[in-house]
Amino acid sequence: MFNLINMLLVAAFLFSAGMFVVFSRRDSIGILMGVQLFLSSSAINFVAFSRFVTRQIEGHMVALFILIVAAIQVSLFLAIVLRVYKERKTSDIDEIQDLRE
Amino acid sequence: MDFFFMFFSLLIVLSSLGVMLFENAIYALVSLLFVFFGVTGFFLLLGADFVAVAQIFVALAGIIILFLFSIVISRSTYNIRWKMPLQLKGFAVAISVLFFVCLIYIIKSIPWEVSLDLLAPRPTTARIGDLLLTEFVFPFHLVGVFIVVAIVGSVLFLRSEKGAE
Repeated sequence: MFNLINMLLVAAFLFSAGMFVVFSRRDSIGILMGVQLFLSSSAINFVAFSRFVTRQIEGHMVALFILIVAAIQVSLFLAIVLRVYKERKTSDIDEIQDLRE
Repeated sequence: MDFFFMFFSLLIVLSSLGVMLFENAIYALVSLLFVFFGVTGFFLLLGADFVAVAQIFVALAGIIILFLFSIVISRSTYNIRWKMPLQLKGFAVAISVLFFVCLIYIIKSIPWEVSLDLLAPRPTTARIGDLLLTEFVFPFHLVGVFIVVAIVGSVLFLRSEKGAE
């Protein structure tokens, strides 16, 4: 039960769940939650390959960098969302569609 | 080992279903928290001890708190409505299911070269420290610069123009 293919299948489920969240949520913060699911599934993939296929540790390094960049991306995205919320008083992406000042 | 794999994969699957289907943003955030717990469990199963602890620090303690504060702040201050409407578009369901089915087919049809001698996993922290300063020194410093840029950019971006200069 604990082999490479089942790991990859769970990561694929996480990825499609993230895709569904990104496509169907209407608020900006919910979309960012879907992006977090994308990144977590990629990190699981890298570490699974590093354990089962290559016995090297570079997979762990890539997973670490994915984690760090995800955190930075979340903070920047939330700064943008809060700024837009201050101007437009909403975080609904259907209402924040034009790039006017 | 099989029991732990089943437990963590069930946790991940059910929690990602929660992130998909909950309308309340705080409920979806708690489901995302459980997804991160499951991912940490997967890292531990795969012998990635340093990455698992880094996941606890960064994702569980950092990202979730960032999400929580921004969900709380970006509500209207007079009538706090937690309910954010979720438009279940049939397009989203169709695309995600199609993508998942394609991924299952691809994963099952590639002959992965799984290495036959699966020894017990060794501690990885020392090796990661070695690699960070020898082979991965360029991404390491680039990520450091990126963090500084993100901090300065966020502060500049959120500063109001009417504040005292």
